[in-house]
Amino acid sequence: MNKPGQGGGGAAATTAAAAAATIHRQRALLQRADADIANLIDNFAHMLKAARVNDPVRNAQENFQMDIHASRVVQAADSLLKLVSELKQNAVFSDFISLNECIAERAARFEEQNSDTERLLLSVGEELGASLVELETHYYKSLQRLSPAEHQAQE
Amino acid sequence: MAKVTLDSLPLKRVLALEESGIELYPPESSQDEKPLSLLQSLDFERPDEKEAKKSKSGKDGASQWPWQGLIEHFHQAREELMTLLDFIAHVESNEALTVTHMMKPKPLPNEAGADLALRTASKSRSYKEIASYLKRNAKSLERQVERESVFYGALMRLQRNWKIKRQRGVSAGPGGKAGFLMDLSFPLSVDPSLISSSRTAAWTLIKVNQDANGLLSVQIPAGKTITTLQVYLSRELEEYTSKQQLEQPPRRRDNRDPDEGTSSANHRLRNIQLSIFDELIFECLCRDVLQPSSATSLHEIGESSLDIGAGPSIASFFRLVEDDAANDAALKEVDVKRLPLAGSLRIYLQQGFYSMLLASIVQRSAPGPRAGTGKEEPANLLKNFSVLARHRSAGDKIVSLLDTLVLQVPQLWFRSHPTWRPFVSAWDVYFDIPEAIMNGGQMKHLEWNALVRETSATFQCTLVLRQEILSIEGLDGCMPLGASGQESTGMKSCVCSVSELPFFLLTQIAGKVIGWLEEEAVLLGPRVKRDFLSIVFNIQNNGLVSLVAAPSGYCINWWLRFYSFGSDDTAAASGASAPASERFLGPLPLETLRAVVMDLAINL
Repeated sequence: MNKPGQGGGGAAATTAAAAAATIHRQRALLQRADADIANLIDNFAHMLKAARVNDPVRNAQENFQMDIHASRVVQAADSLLKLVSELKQNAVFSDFISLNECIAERAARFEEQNSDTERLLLSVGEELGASLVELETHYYKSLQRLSPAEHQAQE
Repeated sequence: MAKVTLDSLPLKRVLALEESGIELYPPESSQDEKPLSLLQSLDFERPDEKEAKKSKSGKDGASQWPWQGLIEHFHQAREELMTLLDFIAHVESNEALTVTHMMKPKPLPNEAGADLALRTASKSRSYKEIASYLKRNAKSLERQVERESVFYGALMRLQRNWKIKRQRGVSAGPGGKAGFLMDLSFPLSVDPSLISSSRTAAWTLIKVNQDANGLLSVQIPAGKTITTLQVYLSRELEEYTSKQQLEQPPRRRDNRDPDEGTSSANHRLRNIQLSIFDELIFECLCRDVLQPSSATSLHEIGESSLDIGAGPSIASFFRLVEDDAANDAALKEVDVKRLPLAGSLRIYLQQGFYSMLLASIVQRSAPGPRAGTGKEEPANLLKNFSVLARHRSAGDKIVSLLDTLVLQVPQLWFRSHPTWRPFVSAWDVYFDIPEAIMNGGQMKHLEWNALVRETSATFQCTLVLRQEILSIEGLDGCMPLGASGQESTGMKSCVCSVSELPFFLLTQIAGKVIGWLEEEAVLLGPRVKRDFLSIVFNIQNNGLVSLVAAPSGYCINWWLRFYSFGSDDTAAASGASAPASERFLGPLPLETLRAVVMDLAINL
């Protein structure tokens, strides 16, 4: 069994490992982004370099190269979009700070709604009680409720 | 067709032989002369052309076009060039001859310009194709960006309200599965016995899909439908009838169309969660009814229906109904006389269940030893519901009794006293003799506020129903049932059954009326005595006349009894001797009673 001191040390080691993994992952994502952007720019530059008009054989060769470079440009753009999706997914699942803030805010709002609802219920109850008294009074004083003798005396 | 002849083999043939025996060979041609000699040996003329030449030479050429010959020469030159090129290619491929140099004619300026234009046009065309390709891809990428921004935006807004999990092995992508799940399960700190249900297991994880437009959609799992718990009560008392229609619970809008936007996804998830709660409540009720300590009797149990007996002549029906308009017919099959406010019972069940969940969370999360473990009875939802149903039934009976009493007895009023507690109900009952009657005047239209006065003829009390126990509180010097006039105990409250309530109240009211009549009669003469529910007048000729109140049913009947023996008031009052005669007066109004008493006091 781990002793409390060792447990604390274990937790600290886990936290340090997690932090290192996070930094490594962040670095990998930055590298991917840099590579994709560089790839995109290089291929576009190659496409522009092939703009010179040469002999037909060379022209045909350059046309083929331009097709390749254009495909690589599109591939780099698609890779960048996937990187953005991955970053958004990480934001959904790993952004604990904003999640905790949101939860705390909602809890506070629900507490406020709870107290407002309780006050509203109390006021509704009071109004209901007063309305009930009035309605019962009118009901039991109505002509249909009076006995025939009272009704005749009233007339 | 061209004719190709083959040269002789490259052998040195003896040209001549001298007398001395020396062989003379033909002179060897140089390297430059060899191809010329070979070329010269070629015959470019076609056989048909030779024949045509011969025929033409014989004809008269007076009708020819001036430039015809030039064109023919060009044709021939072209033919020769083509032949040469073919020959060179043939020879080169066989490696018999290597073409080291070919003299092209110098292109003319217009030819150079045309060539450059052609190359430029081809380059431009290729660039245009690439540009269109890049534009198409740019549009598709923009659409993808839009879809993903809509999807992830909706997902992040949903994440504020719900728990989202990632589905392993599935990657998010346009037009495909999104790879996300909504987790609707309860936290681990909740007591598993409350939330364990095979019915709700399929609801725990809800898939979030992305359609072709990138919009987020929540799909209900196959084979599951959103259901609503409906609660009915019935009572077998014949005097109660309800003309209200079946009270429908608030229908949850849930069409089968795909979701659009965060709000509709939220709404659908909320409906699913409410359905889960209703199913868990139903399962909890089924578990409670099957326990041996359950105080209810089970009539029928099914997959989505439960009929129990909550108490004497009270039956409860629980149904899990699909939230669909087509199921309205099924609801009408339950043809029962329903108690009012039955919809509140469903809310009570839900509130009770939520309280149990919260209590289990608090209990499990509280550090240290748990208070009352092992000795307190676990919360029983069905038991509480049964108590509430019995309480409501008893309350309804009391209201109907009081209603009838008020109708039958003048000057008797009651009003509800809301307590806002589920198991406590209260009513205030008033009886007061109007001032006009007390003063002997005509009865006028009474005002409600004028009735509450502190007089001896005033009677007021509060009926409090706690669960099923009815107690009457606020009684000042009331007389319990069966006691005589001198035995007023001055109790402040007493317990009474519902069936005895009318008689008890009528007895108290009759006592007040008798007291008031006694006061009125004493003013006119001293020979009046009161005995519990009667006034006794002494007749000068040793007779007694008593005016007796007899509560029965929902009214107070009055009797006039004559006793002809001596001045033994006690014997007459105790009824030891039978009255000589008696006359039934029936239920009399107060002014008539006063008049009777006045007449008796004056004349006797």
